[in-house]
Amino acid sequence: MLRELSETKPAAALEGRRPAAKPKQASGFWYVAPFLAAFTLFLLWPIISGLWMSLTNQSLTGAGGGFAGFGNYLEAFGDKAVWQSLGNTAVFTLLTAAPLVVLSFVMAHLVYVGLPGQWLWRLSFFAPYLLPVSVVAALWQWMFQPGFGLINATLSAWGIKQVGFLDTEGVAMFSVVLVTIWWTVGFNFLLYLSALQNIPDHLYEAAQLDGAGPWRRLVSITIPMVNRTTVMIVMLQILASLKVFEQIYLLTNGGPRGSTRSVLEYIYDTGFSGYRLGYASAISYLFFALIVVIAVLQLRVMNRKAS
Amino acid sequence: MSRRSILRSAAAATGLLATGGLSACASPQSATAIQSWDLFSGADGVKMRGMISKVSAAQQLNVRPVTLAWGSPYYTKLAMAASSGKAPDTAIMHLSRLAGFAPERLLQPYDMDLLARHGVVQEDFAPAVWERCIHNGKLFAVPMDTHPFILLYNKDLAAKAGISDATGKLKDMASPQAFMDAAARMAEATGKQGLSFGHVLDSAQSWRLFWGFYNQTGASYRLTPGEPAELDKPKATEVLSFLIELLDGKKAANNQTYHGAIADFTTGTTGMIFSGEWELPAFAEAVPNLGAMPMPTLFGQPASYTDSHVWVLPRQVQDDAGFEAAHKFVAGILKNGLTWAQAGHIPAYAPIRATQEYRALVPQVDYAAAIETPAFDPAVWFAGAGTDFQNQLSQILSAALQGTVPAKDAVDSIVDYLQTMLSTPNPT
Repeated sequence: MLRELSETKPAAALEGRRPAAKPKQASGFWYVAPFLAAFTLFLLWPIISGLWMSLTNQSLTGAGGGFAGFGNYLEAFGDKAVWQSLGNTAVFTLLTAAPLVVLSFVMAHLVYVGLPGQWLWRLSFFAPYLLPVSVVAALWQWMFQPGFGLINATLSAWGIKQVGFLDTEGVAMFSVVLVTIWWTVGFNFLLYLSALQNIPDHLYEAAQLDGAGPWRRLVSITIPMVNRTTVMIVMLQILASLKVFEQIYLLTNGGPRGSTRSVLEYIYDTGFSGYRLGYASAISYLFFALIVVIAVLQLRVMNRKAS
Repeated sequence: MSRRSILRSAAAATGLLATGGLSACASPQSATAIQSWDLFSGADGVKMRGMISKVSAAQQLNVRPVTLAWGSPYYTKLAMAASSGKAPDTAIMHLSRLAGFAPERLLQPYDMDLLARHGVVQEDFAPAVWERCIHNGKLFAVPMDTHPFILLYNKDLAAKAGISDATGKLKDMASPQAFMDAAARMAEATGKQGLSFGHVLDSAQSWRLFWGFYNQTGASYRLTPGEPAELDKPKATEVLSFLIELLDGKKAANNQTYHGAIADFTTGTTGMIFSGEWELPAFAEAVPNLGAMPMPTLFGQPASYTDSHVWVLPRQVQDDAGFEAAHKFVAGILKNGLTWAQAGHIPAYAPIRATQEYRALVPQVDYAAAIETPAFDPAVWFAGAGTDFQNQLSQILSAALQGTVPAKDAVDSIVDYLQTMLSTPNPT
């Protein structure tokens, strides 16, 4: 027994730490295995099979399937509807991202500095976020209704001309933006509120002793202290806005004349209504590449800012 | 009774003996089980469920109906189910979708002899409808109804406006001008507007109205994939200009939604409405003295925009007893067409239309003639109910009806869109 131990010990020492690390690795693998399985099945595999699909003429009906090379990608570059829907997506992102960040901070700050009845504000700012998108769309559709909808009827009663909120080109996108802000601002609000509550009170106390007014405290303490949260919210918000689909699909179905059709809706229309899965995959991979580029750029800018 | 179903009943009977009284509740198992998909979720959905249970009981079938939401997702689901081999035994489709549904790949043709044995033959259907069900010489669909786009009117208001005859029916309106005069007089009678038409944000309504009247002009069109789109632009512009003039805010509002138009008609704000006949039960409840007619012939030839609910047999992985049972089921449903007619639809099965009971159904019988002159969607793969084709064209037309785009430009946009679709590879 002793001899055995003394014999094995140098051997183990010779091989360094590797043999000792081995069992660790194995148990580590089993810990991540469930996630890895789900990840492979629901993320990795669809990504690979989608990429393959984008190189074929695969149709939802099972027809086609022949290899098309980069034909789909070339077609997408020449497709007016792709560019139009990408443009709409960009406009939507620009119009929603900034207000959703600024507004949520303002709301969170107002609640934090102590509007009376804090719980009520917290509840009413966050409540819309809990509604499913179908409910949100139905609610606003009725309010936007021409003729006797809540908003248009009120406008008429005041003697103001009615507005075609969802059916006028140029107005419809703003209506969708308004609905989206109302619906989703609560989530950013909550993130900001918790960030604000994490700022240590002694910073404010010290500043106050040094004679800093409320505005100075906001600019020099509050905003820098929530910087990390801002970076995260901006990131999440831009990605979420680029992925817009549901509320547009339900409110305007992309109309009027395609002026609110987002790129994801176009992908849905070509793939699922038009059966052209291969072509739809190609557009979604182009869009994916675009998102990766935006995300990397954003990360760089934000990191530079943070440091 | 097929040999298989006899065997099955025998097996069920053995089971009954083996388990004694316990299996009394298992008796429906002895009937052939088939699954059917439909998209009727409104008032006609209730009627359909009633017909299915009636046919199930009478024909000793065990039908499991599944109702899915109307529209483009329904066809996505049906196509995916059929191409993956998980399809129902029988399903409802719009006839306008048949050409684009890869009949040879996703559907099975009917066995005409089998249908005839259950009492359904070609002579029972209007030729214009039957022809659209044939693909490569085989029958891929059995029509249950045709559901045209029609003109409904409030008889009391029409009498007040002086545009109806002694029997309460609208007087002949044979030109665009005559129709606009009638709408103007109706507007005086209601004190608000004459006619309702809801199209704003709707993915089909403007197309239905436009295409019906375009077909009345007798203008030709040719949509062949890979070739230039041929549409009679002057005629299309003429029709669209008429519609823009009609929806001037006085004769008819030009910014009404589908449900808004219904609300206006049912509350007497307007006295006429262009609508699908499927809304008939709702109208009949609100407007007791309700009249209806096919789309008025304003451009020379009678034609009403029409689609048709048909029964199809999605392709099965292996042939089983469901194939024969589905024939039996479809034939049984057709013979219960009178129930279906109450929902407003015109039964496609002629023996039903010939019955005393149907002849007495007012106002259904007043627009039954529309079945002879249907204006279907073009028979190309990208057209039909619930397609992006209807959605895109409706958006163009709707913008024109609201006065934001001139008629001529809208027609150019339509031809552009058709051209794009014709040069797109056919995915079926």
